[in-house]
Amino acid sequence: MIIFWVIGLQGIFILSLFTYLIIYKIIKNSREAIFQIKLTTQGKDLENAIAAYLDGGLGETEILARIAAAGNRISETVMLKLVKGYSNKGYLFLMTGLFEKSGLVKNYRQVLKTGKWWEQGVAAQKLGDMRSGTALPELIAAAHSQNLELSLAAARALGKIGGEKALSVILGALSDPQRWTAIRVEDIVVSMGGQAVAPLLKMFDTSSPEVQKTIIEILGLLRDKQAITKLIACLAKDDYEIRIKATKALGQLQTKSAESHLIWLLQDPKWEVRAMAAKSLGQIGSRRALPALERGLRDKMWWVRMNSAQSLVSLGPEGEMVLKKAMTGDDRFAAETAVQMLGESWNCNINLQKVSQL
Amino acid sequence: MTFEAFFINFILLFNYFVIYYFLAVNGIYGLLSIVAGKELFYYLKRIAFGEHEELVVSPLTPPISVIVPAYNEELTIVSSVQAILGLRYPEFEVIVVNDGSGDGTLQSLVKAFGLCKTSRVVHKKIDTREVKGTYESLYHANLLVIDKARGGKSDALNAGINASRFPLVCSVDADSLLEEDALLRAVKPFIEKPDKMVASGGIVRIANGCEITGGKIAKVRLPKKAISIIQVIEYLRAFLVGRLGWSSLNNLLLISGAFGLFKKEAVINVGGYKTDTVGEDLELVLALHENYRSRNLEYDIKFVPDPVCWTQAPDSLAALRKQRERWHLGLMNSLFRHKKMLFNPKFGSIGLFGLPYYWFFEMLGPLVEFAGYIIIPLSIYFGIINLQFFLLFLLVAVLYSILISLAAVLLEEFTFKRYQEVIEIWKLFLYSIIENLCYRQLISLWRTVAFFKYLYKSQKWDVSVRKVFSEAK
Repeated sequence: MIIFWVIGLQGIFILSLFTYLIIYKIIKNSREAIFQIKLTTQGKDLENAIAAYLDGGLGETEILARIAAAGNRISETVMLKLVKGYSNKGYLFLMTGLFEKSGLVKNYRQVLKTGKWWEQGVAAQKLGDMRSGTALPELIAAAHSQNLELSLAAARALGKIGGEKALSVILGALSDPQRWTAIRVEDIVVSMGGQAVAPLLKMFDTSSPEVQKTIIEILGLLRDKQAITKLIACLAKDDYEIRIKATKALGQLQTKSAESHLIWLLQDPKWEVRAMAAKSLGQIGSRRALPALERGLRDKMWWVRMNSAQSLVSLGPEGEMVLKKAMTGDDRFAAETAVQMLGESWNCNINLQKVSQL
Repeated sequence: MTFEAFFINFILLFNYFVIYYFLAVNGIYGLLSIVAGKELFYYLKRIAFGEHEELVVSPLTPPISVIVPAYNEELTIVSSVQAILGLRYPEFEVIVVNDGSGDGTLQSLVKAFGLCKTSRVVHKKIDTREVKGTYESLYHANLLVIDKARGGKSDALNAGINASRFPLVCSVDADSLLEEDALLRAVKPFIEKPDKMVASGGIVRIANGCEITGGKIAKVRLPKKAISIIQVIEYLRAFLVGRLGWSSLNNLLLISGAFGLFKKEAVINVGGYKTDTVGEDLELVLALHENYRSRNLEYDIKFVPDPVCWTQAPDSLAALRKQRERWHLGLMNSLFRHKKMLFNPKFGSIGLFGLPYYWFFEMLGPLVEFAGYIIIPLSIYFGIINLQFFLLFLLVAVLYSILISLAAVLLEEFTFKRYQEVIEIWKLFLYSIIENLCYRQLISLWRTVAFFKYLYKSQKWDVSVRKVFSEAK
């Protein structure tokens, strides 16, 4: 008897799930199709109206009326699409005003206070895209949430909005790597650009070595000359990982004032530092480094030799002369590295002919 | 005790064993379905406000070396490499390893990509067969082709690892198609846990029947052949229920060889891919688990349901049989190689739950099922079990299996929704039933044959016939 019940219940359950799926699919597909049709017609009109408003051809009252008439979903879709395409600060400011006055920001601020974490995450993301400064208190609170995904979404939104308050929250996270992984915070800080440089330099000396390494990496990516003095000072640190990161950052900054320090680092006891120094000298374009890079070709570590050779190639004819000399020199490793580097830059056309005959 | 009495007692015990075995394996699969469903629900909520676009432009997104081993892939290699070069990812290199092909694989690549022989010195971290030459492309700075002596897929992957410049390596089969955002989605776990993450895998889907244009899936469709449709359901169950479920229980033992992303250093530390097995993907993941757990290091291996790799499934019984036998041989080889981990508390949940499941249900399951087909009729003959009871029990078992298959289909339709048309959902429902009425029994038979083949040590990796991806007309 029990088995009959089990079979019956299983069968009913399967059929119910399947029926629900079919009905759900039909309804969902229909709703989506209707929305797409509306978006195509009403959305296009709204897009044109917003463009006219931004160019001063339409008043604020009228555009807000048009946004209200189009409905929340269509107006939000259209406006967010437009915002992503604008880089003009004036336009972005006006768009943010429209988001706030149309009530869209208010709705998401409410969701950020009371919704489930995934609804809050979406709200944070949208508020970031809307660049809404009025939502800062809710976003800062969300950035301190215990839910990692929500706090990161809020931090990304703060990164897009910018400003001192937003920056201090995000930089605070750099000192607390347990909450967010450093790479994500770095990403947000880098996206904020030059406004982050001065606060980063200020917090550097009081930070732990791990945070200092993250800050150096960010300074290199930001490519701001304000950081040069601090980075050069880092080249003398005991922690070799800091030396590596500072060397890399100086290469990214392509700063000639670091040349002599980097040349000195080609004698560093750590091969990783030597390899990075060789690479950075190539990025800077340092002809003063030619003798040191020639010595780098004879280094016992493969990466140092490779980076030295690549930097010599990037230094043009003078660098190539050094490589040609090494090809016929008495050091086997230097010769091998030189042959590879020169071969890659010279022999392509000849070899292509030979290969096509395979 | 007479022989007949002993035999009857044996059959009786076996019947009890089958009942408990049935309850155990289906209980585990039911648990995996629930866990996978919950994980998928939260995963979709997370990616709703995900950061894929930010990853594309971020200079901090870790670079990846995509390694494509190729053996006699003349017909498909150019379109495959073109598709991989078109992936959306900020920084990656593509390393195609021509593993001693006898056809025009290398010539096709030279002609299509303007390859130029270089004298690049490869830093050999893993031993491989001889590398005959390295070629760089005039048109694509991030393409490298390695020509080497034949050594098998694992050897080719190891050669690719030796030549790679980046900290993450991604193995992709030459006949697979990655979706445009596949790398962006697969790399996310490495961004969330850069110190701990060791490997991540994506979902493999069946490309048969799909419209393919310019090396990309233009429209997803179900295959035309029944055998391929059934494999669609099988793959959905294996990935969306099995892999996702085990991954959320931190017991993922398998990342598909068609598409997997690994921390290069971790792979080199375990000696790279093993060349003496046909299940190199399972073998690598088990080796990683063993290495990290025996050293008490924190690590993570995750399945990500989002990044998709499309592959051609066998569409004939002969090709399917060869594939399933090969998979079972590879499974057994890896399980025996790492037998010291079985029930060993030193290896945590892997040794106490994950591996025992693979041993007793994945490896021995077909054998138990096959034995059942012999012993059950004997049971009925000797009057040990009632025919009506047996038929009802069989119906319950089949319905339960249909339920699990349907759960996988439902998970797919409520989440990723690749199959949009209502007629396709009807087909999936229908084949969820058909799969459990004959197909699974056939697969069990082949796996049982493979089991005995392994015991007699007659392994051979049969090469499946490659078919050209059908382009949209």
